[in-house]
Amino acid sequence: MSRPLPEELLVEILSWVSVKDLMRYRCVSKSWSSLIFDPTFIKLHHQKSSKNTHILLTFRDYENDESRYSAAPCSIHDLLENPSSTIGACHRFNHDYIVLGVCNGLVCLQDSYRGDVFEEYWVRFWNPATRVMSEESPHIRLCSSDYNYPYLFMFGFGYDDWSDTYQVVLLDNKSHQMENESYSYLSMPDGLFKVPPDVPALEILKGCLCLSHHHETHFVVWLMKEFRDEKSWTQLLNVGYEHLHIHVLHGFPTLPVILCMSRNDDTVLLANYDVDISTSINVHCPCYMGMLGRKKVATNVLRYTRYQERIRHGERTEKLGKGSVTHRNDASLHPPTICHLGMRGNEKMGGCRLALGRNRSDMDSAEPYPTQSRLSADRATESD
Amino acid sequence: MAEETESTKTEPLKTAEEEFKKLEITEEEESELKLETSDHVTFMVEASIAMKFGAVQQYLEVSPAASASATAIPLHNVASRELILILEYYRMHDWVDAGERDLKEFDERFLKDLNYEELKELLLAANYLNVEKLFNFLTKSIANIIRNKDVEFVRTFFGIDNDYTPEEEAAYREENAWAGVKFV
Repeated sequence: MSRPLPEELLVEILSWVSVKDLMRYRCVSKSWSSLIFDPTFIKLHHQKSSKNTHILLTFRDYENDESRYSAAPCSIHDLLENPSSTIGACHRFNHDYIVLGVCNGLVCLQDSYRGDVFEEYWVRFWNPATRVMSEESPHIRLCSSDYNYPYLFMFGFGYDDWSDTYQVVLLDNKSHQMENESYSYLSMPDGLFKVPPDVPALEILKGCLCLSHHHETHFVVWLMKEFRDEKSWTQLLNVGYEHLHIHVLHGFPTLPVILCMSRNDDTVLLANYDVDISTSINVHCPCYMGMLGRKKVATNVLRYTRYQERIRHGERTEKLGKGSVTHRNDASLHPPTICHLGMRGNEKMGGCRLALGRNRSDMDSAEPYPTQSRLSADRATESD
Repeated sequence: MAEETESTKTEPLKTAEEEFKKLEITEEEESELKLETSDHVTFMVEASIAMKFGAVQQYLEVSPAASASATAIPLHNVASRELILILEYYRMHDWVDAGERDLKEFDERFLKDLNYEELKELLLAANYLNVEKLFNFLTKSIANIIRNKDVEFVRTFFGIDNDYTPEEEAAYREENAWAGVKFV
């Protein structure tokens, strides 16, 4: 005599199940399908899966003499359990996309056309957990002749908590003077005496601003434990390239990319573009720990992006009536639009560029550079 | 102020004596609570464990007298079979000397001894009792059981009827081919 479990208990059980399994379990019954796409359930599931970080490996896959841009998601937990596992199922794209960014498990892919007179850019959203791809965004056309020298622009991708939407922003310097910009200045860590020759990488690691750079024979990583508190810069790693299996040619190595840090803060997972492997490094006693993500397919450069799985994005705009689930649309993604902004003239974007220097006077003369992590850095400011 | 200081001076002796008496009572009698399951079996349970049950806490908030009196606290939706298991789990997890490995081994054995129906009954009991640790353990364990399983298995496991038409099911199969949908 089996008593059926009430829905609240089913929700708790299913919140531990992977998105791939959930996609299959939509076929169990109609009520399961609507439960799985229920906005409250999606949020709960995402909260729990945030402990299970995934990385997306993107690479070129050569098969049958045909080069295809491909992506393979894998769970970091699984990778650490089976360090020598090969890449499983991968998704083959029919375009050469650039991964613009990942937010809450939603990947923003960018494609472009570059002609002599103009360039065109467009983006698509892709959810690797459900393999749902949106339509293309409207194309944005840029003509370099419209710009004053230097011709600068960058794309950013982020999630806006207030409007519960995902936004793609194009920032450029089209016919604007750059004098009246407002910047945020952050001092470099004390152990650094000058701005490194290469642009240091900035990103968010465990909610902290993380700066990594090349220093002679070492790869150095700093964490700003409290945002805007320059005294809180802490050196996380200072590892010789030989430990990372990085070859230094002409003094300039390909720097590894920081993927994630373990929950107890003692292991950092690094991706190394140079030799197509990722490495985990013990924070307290830096040592090479193992090869991860060895690939079976013939590839050249592997790129890694970390993300957390999510079933669906933008609940507010895609709410479904219960019982009226149409299986064609329940996992669909709205195509993105690109918000085009000049660097000046928008209050909200003020302070979106970060300049690095040793002290205030250095900073005033330092060339500010927009960084890839700009939107994430903004978010850190807001919550500060 | 002066009065207060005086009264506190005289009090310590008294309170120490009272505390001592209370301590004796706690050790001998008050450390256990009487619980009665839905099949009318009464259990004397250590207060330290019984107070982990949200349902017991709630009952005592409403009728605090029950902690001292001989009246049993009724657990309407928990049978003695489930309560025995729950107590076994909490006694082990409460045990100070239990190391991480001991607990892991215990958890594995605990699960192995249960069939699917018993597991679900236990989850219902844990939910009623409002015991967080066991509840999370059980929901995670069930999620592990259905991991990588096909749709038919899940339907049988939870006793769910398929209410899709063959056409709808075919459409899903096509859409989810990548996720390895199996139809029996």
